[in-house]
Amino acid sequence: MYRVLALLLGILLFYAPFALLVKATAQLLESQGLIYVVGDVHRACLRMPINWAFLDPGKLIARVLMNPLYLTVFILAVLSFFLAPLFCGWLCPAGNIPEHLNRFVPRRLKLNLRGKLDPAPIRYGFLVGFILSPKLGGSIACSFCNYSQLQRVLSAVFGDFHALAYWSSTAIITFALWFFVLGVFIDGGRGWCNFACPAGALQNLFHRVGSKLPFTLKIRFFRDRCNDCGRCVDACPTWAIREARNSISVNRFVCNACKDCVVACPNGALAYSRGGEAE
Amino acid sequence: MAAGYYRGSLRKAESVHFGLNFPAPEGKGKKVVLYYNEQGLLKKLLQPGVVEIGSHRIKNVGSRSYVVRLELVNIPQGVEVIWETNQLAWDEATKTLRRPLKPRQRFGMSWVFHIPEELREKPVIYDGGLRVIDAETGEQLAFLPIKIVNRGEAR
Repeated sequence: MYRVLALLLGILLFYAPFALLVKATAQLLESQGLIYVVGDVHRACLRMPINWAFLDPGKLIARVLMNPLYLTVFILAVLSFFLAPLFCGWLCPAGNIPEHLNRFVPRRLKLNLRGKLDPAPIRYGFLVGFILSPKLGGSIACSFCNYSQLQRVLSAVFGDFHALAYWSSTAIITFALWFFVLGVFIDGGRGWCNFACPAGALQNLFHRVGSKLPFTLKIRFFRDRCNDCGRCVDACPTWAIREARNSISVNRFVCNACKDCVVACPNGALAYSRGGEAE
Repeated sequence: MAAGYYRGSLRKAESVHFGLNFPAPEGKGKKVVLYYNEQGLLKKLLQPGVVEIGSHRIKNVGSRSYVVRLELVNIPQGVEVIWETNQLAWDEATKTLRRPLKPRQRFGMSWVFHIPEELREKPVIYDGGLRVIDAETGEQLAFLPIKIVNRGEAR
């Protein structure tokens, strides 16, 4: 319930026709004569700034001076260091909508790779490919953007049907993969996040380091309370929890701190709190 | 990488983006060509008649501000063009940016062309261009030739 409310908040903050955060920033900048644009999710792009940061830092600085919201992805990464990737687990509509819809799809219709495939190597392989793609083939930041596809759909839902007027081949592929194949029809509904989201991968990289420190917030495991029921493993939408011998492990490279495992555990063996990763 | 190469292979087939500086002397600069018949398979199957031409960077490189009006010239009969922009100050009726664009400022615009079936096989579907006009004086600030063609006809 709280996650659904958070998802709605994510839509209100980032996506047109609401885009409150984006519009507030645009108003502020407009008063300084910098930009005056319609607010939608593109103004807080979480993809292109990653390319710029690694391949052309000067361009990143220039763009940030025009639109500080291009820093969003890096702010989220730093927050993930201290708080875990709460944005992914709670606020991000592009990740949360397929995940929540996925719960209504019968299990037999879902591709089940849980426990059979470690998403982390694919996720970080994709991140490297994403960063290098402008130099080695062509940028995939915009053409394979799932946020953009969601924005088009939401715009149409709220009356702007022009948003769906044009579909490129890459947009069709992205929509099919993000929403259907790796969304509502994959176990957990977070296949796109697990494999093909550079913003999520960057946040989890910071979380992986931060989780080693005792003062940061993270999903923690209490061995003495665990009865090996495995409910947390099944509940995790990102397949981050794996059963180990008389224990479990939380894969920090994909955990998005949604806390579904905390809710699923009948014995309180998992908690989102400060301290060591396991006790 | 494969995704990048795939995107690259469609760069001039489904959606072409360009940058345009103004004021610019007439007859100087690039032209935009979209190769209609090189669309990807999915596009051909699902939405063949709709292509996009757009720019994130129509930039004032002059030394003074301009109130900019845009005009797409020579649109063939039957072709519908939807104008899309993220500019709050855009006046759709007059195709004018209501606020002056200061030196070094830029804006973006996309044109979604709906091409009727009877025109899709033609060697040259569209041969026109984008005119950037000073809305206060009517002076042409820049002109960018734009063509939508089937392969082999773009000269």
